Amino acid sequence: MTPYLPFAALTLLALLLAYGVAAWAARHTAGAALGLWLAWACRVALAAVFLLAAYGKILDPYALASSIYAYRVVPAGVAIVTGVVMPALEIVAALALLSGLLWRGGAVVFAAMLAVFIAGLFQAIVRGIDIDCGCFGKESPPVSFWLIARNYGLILLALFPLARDVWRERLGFAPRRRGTRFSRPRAAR
Amino acid sequence: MRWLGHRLVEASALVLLALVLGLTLNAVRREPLPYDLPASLLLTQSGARVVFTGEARRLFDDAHFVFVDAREEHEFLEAHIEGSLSLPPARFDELYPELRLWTAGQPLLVYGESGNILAADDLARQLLAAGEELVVILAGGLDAWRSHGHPVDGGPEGLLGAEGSAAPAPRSAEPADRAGGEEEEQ
Repeated sequence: MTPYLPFAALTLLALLLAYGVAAWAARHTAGAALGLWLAWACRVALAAVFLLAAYGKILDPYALASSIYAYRVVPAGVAIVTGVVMPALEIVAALALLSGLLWRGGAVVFAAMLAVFIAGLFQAIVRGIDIDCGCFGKESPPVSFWLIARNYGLILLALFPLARDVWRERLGFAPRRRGTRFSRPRAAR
Repeated sequence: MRWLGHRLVEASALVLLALVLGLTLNAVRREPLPYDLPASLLLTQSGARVVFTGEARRLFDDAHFVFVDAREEHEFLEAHIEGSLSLPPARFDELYPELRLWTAGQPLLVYGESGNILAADDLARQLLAAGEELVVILAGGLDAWRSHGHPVDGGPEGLLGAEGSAAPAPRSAEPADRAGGEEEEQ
């Protein structure tokens, strides 16, 4: 377990940093229409990327399990179950983001997945494991720092709508526990 | 904190849903991925992809892949997949040129004993190193093939390097055949 600790710590730190950026942006657009548009753009873009990724992976669970195993982090059995379940999770969470049903949970799922991906990529690079990333199924680029950067970009897409949700509640833009959806009093501005 | 708690509950619900969906999808798949697949089949030393019996049968019917037997010659004589060629990894250097004559760049499916893919993996490694572009390994080897009732043959036909064997052609080795097959596909 010990060799994973530095990776986990670094990933967590980077995740906090990303959340800081997202929270800052969300704080400054919390009351504006721009924030709403941005949040929707993030959700749609993130869902599109993951639906595309799931399409490449769901047809061939063996290839996915094999490329997960190639990261040499988890045993074969875990790699197989992950290979079977991961595309389904990507689809379910993407649909949640798009439909609005449990969308916050979907964003949390994507943020967590991306954090795990980043940790996996990072350890593969540090340990010198030369593999394809397996991100989009068969035609995947090899593991590189560029992919880590890309995943940070995607994490921001997941964190911005979440941060916006938090700020709106905290700043009183979206009073939740008063009234129903249709009888909710207008927020004080 | 409470906000985070709610989000984690929502996320868990999605994960649970995905778990059910993923396992169900795999169960109804034409060829479900077995959960107890050994690590050596998940990641071969050669880097060759592993195919399962059902997919191998489709490749067999397509007649585009050439099947190559990685077991010893005497085992090949007893039984082998119909139309396959024998190429024990130990005699690779000696026999590969002859295999090359019969396959001419066609993709190859390599198989060995059941439960032990070391020989097949070794052969696949040598084939890939020799410049073959597409080599796959049959999971479960000859036994899995036979237990599914797919065609098995015996005898010297397909034995490379044997005197007088005249390497009687894997089912699709003739270039003419192949060209014909491709036209049909188009």
